[in-house]
Amino acid sequence: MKFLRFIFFSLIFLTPLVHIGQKSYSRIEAEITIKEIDSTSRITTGKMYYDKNSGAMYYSINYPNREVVVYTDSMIYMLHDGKTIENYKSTNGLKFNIFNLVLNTQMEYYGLNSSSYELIKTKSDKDQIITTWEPKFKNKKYRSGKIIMSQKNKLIFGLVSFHPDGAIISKQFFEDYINIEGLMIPSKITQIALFKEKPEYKITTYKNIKVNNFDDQKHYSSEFYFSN
Amino acid sequence: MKKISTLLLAFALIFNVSASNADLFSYDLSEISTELSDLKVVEKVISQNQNSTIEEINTQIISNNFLSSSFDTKYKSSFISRNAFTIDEMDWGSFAWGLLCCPVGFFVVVTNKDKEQAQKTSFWVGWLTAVIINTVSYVVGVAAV
Repeated sequence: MKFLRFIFFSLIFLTPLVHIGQKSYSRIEAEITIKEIDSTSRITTGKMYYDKNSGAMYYSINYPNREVVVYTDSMIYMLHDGKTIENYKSTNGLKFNIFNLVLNTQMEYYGLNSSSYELIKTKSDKDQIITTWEPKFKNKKYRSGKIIMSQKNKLIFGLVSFHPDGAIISKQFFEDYINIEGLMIPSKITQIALFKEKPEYKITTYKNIKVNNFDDQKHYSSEFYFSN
Repeated sequence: MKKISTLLLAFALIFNVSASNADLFSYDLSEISTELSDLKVVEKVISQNQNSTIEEINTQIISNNFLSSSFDTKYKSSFISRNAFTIDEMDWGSFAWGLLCCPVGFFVVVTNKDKEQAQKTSFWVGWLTAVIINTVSYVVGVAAV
């Protein structure tokens, strides 16, 4: 009985202390450069601001055009001088966005462990842990194949997506991790799309990453971007 | 003999698996090294001219002698979809507005900022279909007379 009482009081009084020790992150910002090479070469530069509580990610683009692109869970808006120029339905929303995964501490499995994919196989290979994920449901319209993921030192390194017929659709590599207040963030992501005749490359780099910047209220508010 | 062949097969499988994983999680950017170094030059021009206008930056990029080939400055940022409109994205309601009642549909769909791009494109596909049908009907009608 004494033991049960000890457990009961420990749970009541010590559990909040565990949460006090964990720092929570809700905001992240970074300078972004995207280099794309396929039949042409393109570069996009700008800055990203994301507050997970507001559910909106703002990209303030410097080049090739001065514009703002807003990502929400369901839509993508392109703004010019505060006016919506174009809007699209978002297919993945923010779910698999790298910064959303980082703030929600889901980077270890790239959010796949809480998605419509299930873990099928795990094996270790030299310095890598290789896991294979398959879709739980077979959707006739949006057919998706397996994903094979590689982790190094508990950090995601590579992600290979397959078509249901077994062909590789794309490869992604997460490198040059930097530690920002305890959060491990890849500062370079290389994506290679292989579903076309010629491979398409997209190299994204992040600089000057800041988390929980509560001094800047302007760049995290929709009022600042949407004037109409 | 059987044991030896089983062992050989096991070794072959092990080496095959490790080779395939090494291939799977590796990449080579050597075939795009020229394009990458050109983009690094462009990146430098952009970062050195943060306070300049886009036109001024583009002029600097085009006149840069360090690029191996000409750089096309007219493109959309990578955050905007460049994928062509497909039949899967067709909004049949907006298509019907374009096909059957274009003048009203223009205000219901095209000038409505709550309508997304796919709906607006669907309207124009509907309108174009109506134009083609009307033109063909007119030509057939004139030919018949």
